[in-house]
Amino acid sequence: MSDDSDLNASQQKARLRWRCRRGMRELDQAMLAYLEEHWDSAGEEERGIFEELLDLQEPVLYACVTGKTPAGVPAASNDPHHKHTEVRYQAVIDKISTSLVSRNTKAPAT
Amino acid sequence: MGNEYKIVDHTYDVVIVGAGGAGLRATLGMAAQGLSTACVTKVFPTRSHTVAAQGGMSAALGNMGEDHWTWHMYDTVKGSDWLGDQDAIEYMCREAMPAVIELEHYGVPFSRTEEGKIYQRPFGGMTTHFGEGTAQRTCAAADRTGHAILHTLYQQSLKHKAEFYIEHFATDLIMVDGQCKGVISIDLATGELHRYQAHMVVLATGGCGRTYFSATSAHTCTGDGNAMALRAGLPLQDMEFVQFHPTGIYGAGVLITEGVRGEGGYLTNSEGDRFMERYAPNAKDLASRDVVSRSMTMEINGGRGIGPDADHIHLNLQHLGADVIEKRLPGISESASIFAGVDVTKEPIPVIPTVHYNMGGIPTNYRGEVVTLKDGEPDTVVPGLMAIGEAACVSVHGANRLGSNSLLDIVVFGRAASIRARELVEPGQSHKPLTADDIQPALDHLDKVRFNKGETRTADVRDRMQRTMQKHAAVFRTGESLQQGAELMRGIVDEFDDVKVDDKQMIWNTDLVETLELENLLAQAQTIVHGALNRTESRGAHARDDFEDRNDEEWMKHTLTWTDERANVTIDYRPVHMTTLTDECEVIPPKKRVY
Repeated sequence: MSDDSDLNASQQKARLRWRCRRGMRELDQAMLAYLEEHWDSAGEEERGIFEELLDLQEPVLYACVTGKTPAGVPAASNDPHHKHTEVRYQAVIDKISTSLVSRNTKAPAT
Repeated sequence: MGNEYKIVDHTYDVVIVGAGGAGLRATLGMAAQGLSTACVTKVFPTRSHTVAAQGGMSAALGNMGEDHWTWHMYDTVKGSDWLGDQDAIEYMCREAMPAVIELEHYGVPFSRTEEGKIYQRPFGGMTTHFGEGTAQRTCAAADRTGHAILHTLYQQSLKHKAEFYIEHFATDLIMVDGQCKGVISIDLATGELHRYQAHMVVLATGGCGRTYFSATSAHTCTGDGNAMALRAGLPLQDMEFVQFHPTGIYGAGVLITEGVRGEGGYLTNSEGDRFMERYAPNAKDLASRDVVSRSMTMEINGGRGIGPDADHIHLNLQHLGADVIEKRLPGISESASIFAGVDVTKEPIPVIPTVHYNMGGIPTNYRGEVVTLKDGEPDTVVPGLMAIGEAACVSVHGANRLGSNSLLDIVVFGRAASIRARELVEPGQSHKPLTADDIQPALDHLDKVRFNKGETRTADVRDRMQRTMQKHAAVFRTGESLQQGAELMRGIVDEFDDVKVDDKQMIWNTDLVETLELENLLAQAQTIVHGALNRTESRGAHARDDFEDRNDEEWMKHTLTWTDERANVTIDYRPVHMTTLTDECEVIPPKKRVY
């Protein structure tokens, strides 16, 4: 859903901030932690992967962010049609997990 | 003032606000019956908070041994501490069975027994023979029941040609002469306003966990529909009843299962004292959720909390050893490591009692129609408006919800609302045109927040509200602490006058949306703190240290709270329905709630 060709940088980031609104609190924190720490300095490819991650279903995203299921391994799912992770996602997933850990260790946020 | 909004008009037979399990079940039901149906949602449907519900859905199918819906009804009434409406509870427990079977037909992959029946597991508070035995009543789709339900209902809704407006933030109801005529939303991607005219608007906007500092709720749980109802001059009901889970990770809000204490984990304060031995000498750390939560809060309030702000407690499982933790508590070491930065084999987990569910909400009857107290009549229907799910207070959970009754609630009453809507609305029925005056209040409201001249940051006010609610209106409640909370909240609500939205343009203006959400949370926080201050008894999740007993004579009634423009709260009451719908069951008379 990269529908932002006409958006300026702050609108684009606000759109992503909204897409970091997840169904689970754990994932709200994980995706926001990455957005705040890494997005501004990320290259085009990395940004693309982050957007693909945002399109994943919650159980799949949660399994990879917590390290339960490595990228590229299909997570157990109720829906045979939905998107799975790919091996090339792993580096970005690692950054998400690391950001989340450092954020939670430093100062607990709401 | 701006008021230069582009407004896109729509007319539908029905509009549902919210695409969690309740909203999607209503959307599907209404579309399938031939009503033109729109569903307006601020996040993509499968990212609704229902996705976080893992436990399951109760229904007396009797697949794993004897069961009967009247036993389920008894458990739910008792769990509610006799604040639940018994006609609605009868309806929910009776309709649970067909509702589960329907979900199965729609495609929810429930876990199965070897004979191919839906597998059912035991759950706290669910019994057979009116409290005698243990019921196996909870149906689950592995550990992702909520996700399976959302996904299935969304696909089914699309199949029946329901139309979705996704990433639209609903701001206000359109009310004309006491009737609901539609709703206004902001399309976040374009910044355009949408005006939906409909014969029935259904609020399915969930709970307001984010009024508190520590909540298991996703960020999206801001109770927008509740606040829209308040702005429309309607009351909320029983908002003082907020369910807490004792062990949420401090700051992160992520739940640590009760199983940790079951396996020998224990709580300590800043002095290293195992304080539960003092509060519950027998059960200790395994006392019930509300008792443990209250004890933890008393330690914190007594100055024995942990950390720089002395505001949390330690959960210890280091002594169990890596093997036991790995074997019996899978996933705990990962959660603790990621969300608390703690190695559970070496250090304790910082935890605090964490908001889990709002029993209160918009009062409705068992058909999903919103009701209010008007001219002394407590069951007056508000024409054109329904509410379902956590946003609603039907009331089936009363003062305390049982586990696995919330997925049941959303499915049964989503379905009930669709049945009732079809009785009231003819497909294609004509609409009386709206006037510019009808939506002016909504535009003025939006402009007021958007162009407010101030210096205070939204996030700072939100933080103060959350910390105040956590300290003064959480588990441990006394008249004194609630009175202080009410005074502090008055000041915080007033600070909202000085909130500044930096971003004035309308495309992806998340600053504006988060400020509107804060305004919604503030109004609901007011209803919680004033409802709690006003109710001088202890019942279910509302435990007052200065009024330790339930007082049926005075308080077996629902609290209604209205707010004015300054979020000042007015209180009145509705009676609890002590009647049943049929003669197939009897009213369950109040007695002491002992487990």
